[in-house]
Amino acid sequence: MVFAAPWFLAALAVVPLLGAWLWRQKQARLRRWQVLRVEQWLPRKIGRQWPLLAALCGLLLALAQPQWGQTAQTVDMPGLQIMVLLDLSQSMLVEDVNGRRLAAAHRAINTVATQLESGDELGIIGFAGEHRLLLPLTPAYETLLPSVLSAAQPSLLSVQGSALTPALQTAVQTFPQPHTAQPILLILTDGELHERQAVATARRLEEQNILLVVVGIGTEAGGAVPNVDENGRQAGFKQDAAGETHISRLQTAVLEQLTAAGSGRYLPPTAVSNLPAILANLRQTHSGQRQIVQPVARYHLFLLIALLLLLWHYMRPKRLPTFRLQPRPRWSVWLLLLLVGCSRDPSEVALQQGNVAYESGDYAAAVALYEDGLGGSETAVLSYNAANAHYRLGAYEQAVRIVQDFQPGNNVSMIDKVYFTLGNSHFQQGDYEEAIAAYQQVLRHTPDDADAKHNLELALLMRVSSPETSSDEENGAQQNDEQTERPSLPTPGGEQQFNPDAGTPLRAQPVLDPNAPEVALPSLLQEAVTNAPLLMPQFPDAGETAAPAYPDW
Amino acid sequence: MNLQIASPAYLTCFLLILIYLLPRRTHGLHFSHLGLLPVGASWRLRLRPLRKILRIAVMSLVVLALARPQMTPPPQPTAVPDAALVIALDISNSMRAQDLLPDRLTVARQLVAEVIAERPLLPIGLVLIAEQAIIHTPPTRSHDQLLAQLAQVSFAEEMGLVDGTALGGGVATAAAMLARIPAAERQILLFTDGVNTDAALDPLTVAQTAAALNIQIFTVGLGRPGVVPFPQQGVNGTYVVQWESLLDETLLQTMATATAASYVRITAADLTAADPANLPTLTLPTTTAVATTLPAAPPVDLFPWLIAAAVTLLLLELWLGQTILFTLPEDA
Repeated sequence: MVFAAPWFLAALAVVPLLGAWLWRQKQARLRRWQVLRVEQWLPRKIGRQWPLLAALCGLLLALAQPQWGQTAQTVDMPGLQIMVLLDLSQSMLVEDVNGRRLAAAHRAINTVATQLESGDELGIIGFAGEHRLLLPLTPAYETLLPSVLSAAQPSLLSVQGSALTPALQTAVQTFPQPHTAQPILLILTDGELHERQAVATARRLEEQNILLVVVGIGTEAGGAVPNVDENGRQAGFKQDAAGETHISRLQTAVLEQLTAAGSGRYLPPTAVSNLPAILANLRQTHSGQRQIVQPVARYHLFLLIALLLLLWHYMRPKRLPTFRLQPRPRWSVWLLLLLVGCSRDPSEVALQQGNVAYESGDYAAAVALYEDGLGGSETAVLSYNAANAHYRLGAYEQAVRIVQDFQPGNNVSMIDKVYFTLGNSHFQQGDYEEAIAAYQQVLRHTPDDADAKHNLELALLMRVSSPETSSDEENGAQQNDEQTERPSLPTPGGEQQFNPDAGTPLRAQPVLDPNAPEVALPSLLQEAVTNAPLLMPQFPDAGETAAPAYPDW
Repeated sequence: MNLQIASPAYLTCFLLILIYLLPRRTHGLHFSHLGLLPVGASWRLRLRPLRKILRIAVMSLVVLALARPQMTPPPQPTAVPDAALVIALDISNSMRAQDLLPDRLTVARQLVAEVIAERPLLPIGLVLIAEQAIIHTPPTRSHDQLLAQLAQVSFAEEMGLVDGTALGGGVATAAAMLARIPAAERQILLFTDGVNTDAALDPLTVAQTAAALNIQIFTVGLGRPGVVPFPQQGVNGTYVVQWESLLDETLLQTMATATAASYVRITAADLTAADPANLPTLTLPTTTAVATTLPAAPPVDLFPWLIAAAVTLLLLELWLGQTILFTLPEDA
């Protein structure tokens, strides 16, 4: 396969650069929006863009115009069309080739004319400083050639010098377009050209399918140029600017450069006799039937692949985030919950039943039920509720014991309630120091717990008003005095009510609670939550809030 | 230059683009009226459809490039006629008569130019008839050169020639040039308005020689019979006199029939009656013999431009999607 425009293949180097740019864009976006956890919304890999880059490669390959195969067309172009460019400058009057150079040129033209077959065409352009069409390209040259050649003298042209390029351009234009036969340019000159653009013009001859033959006329040794006036009489020799007699020589190098540019043939003066043979050779190789081949363009395959890749890439569904907010759980989630609810483990059953018993006042049964369910998933809640039930029954030691063994586990919101119950149990037992410590724990955790504050004040008062047993011996008399009168604590309004409420027994909390408020947790627990799946993303689902501007592809 | 589609079957790929245009399920809330929402569309939102438009444009350009539109070049002559023609033109003084405006010679030159224009690639030559025949241009296919030469033709006296009408010489010169050309059909077209002044060479004899060589002589008589206006140079400028014009129609007709050709007379009425370019009587039998047929010039493909435009729009859409019109979640 060849490419008619291979410079576009260099543009393929842009494609990996484009891929790198896309990757950098993604990285910058990730850095900028890190707090929004945006990586779950962006495609994980830059490889997602590969169809687009591949389509771009396909387009660039098609742009380079791949071709293979050829169509051939046969064209019949019989005959030759020879345009002679005859140098008519004064230097052609030099007599260094057994007579004048011009005469040698005329002989060459006659030789060519005899070599032409019927149907060939011949034309002559004479050039010096200007150029003139002496004979148009015609098949009827025989009748005119003698008169044309006799008129072809340097005196014919008024502007002297040797300017080949304008004559060359005119000669190219005289060939009829499109070419009806094989065009040949025959230049007869001594090479003393005064302008050098002819080489550039000659270079274009090959692409126009014009053959070039250059015949050098003259000698290396050269000769003086006769100074011929308008009457034809010679008056000395021409002199150059310095006053020296100018020697006109054959410029072989210039002529060879000319033929090299136009991929033509150069004939030195000694080989002029080969001219007929060369013409015959050209006739054989270039005239007659010819195949015109044209390459076939094959870009369609690349374009089709690019089109399909583009279409697929544009129509691919956008990447969905791994997790997204559901405004309400789908029916499958409800079913799952139902199943989970139906297949509860015994500790949950125990919890439910125990709660029922507790609320109906049957604390002993509640205790039994709670202690049955210990060891399951709701152990923490069960043990807490059991402690409350014992408290209600007045078994404060049991309550304390259970609470002290209490393991909060994952349910850290129960810490307050647990310590509160502990404080109450200790209080009831008269261990005011432990009660105070427990209430203070509660208040450390929840400073604005009114019940804990109230009970703490009571405990402090009780501690002051009832001395401990160790100090009883020291203050026996005072104790007896004080013990007789239990002070009635001043109350703002009415009797001090002791609030032994240990709180309502906790019900099983659902595992998934999208509406659960966020709680400020200790750092250790925060880490545990971080590693757990997010229940609620930090920003709403863009597809559901930006509806009007959301693209629907 | 005409536009043509080389492979129109590929245009069915537009159906593929229609798939892209199908509406798809959108996520969103339905509002009865957007006025309920306290939002206004910023310029960025308004420009969001631009990405989709660019994508459709890219794919459309690719489909058009697949169809391969081309510009056909202006038609070139493809048939090379196997024929040759020489036009013999009378430039004697009688051609100054003004019954054909502005004068007979100018009209004759216009007719010659039309003949040349209708016959591309035909070798056409020009012979001028004065007191003797002048080869003005040998038969050549370079019609530009020929027309340039034709523009230089004037009356014999103005061209430095002796006035006269050597019909025999003119036809003989033309026939001599044609004899060297190996063509199937060789024709001479003779324009004259007078009589032969050269007694040395009888036109009829020449006509018979030409007939032997299979050369046809088509003759054209210019001007109406009788008295015609004729300019004369006077002391105070030119003035017009009435002058009787003589035309040897018999000779012309005989020459034509002898060579299996035709004779026609052109008067002012013929020129004004119909479009001068469509003179049916002046139409030579078109040369049917064709030496060779040349291939037509190849059309110019336009698909590289379409692909380049598609690449540009593709890169533009990619850049917009990454920078100004970026959306989350990111599109494909």
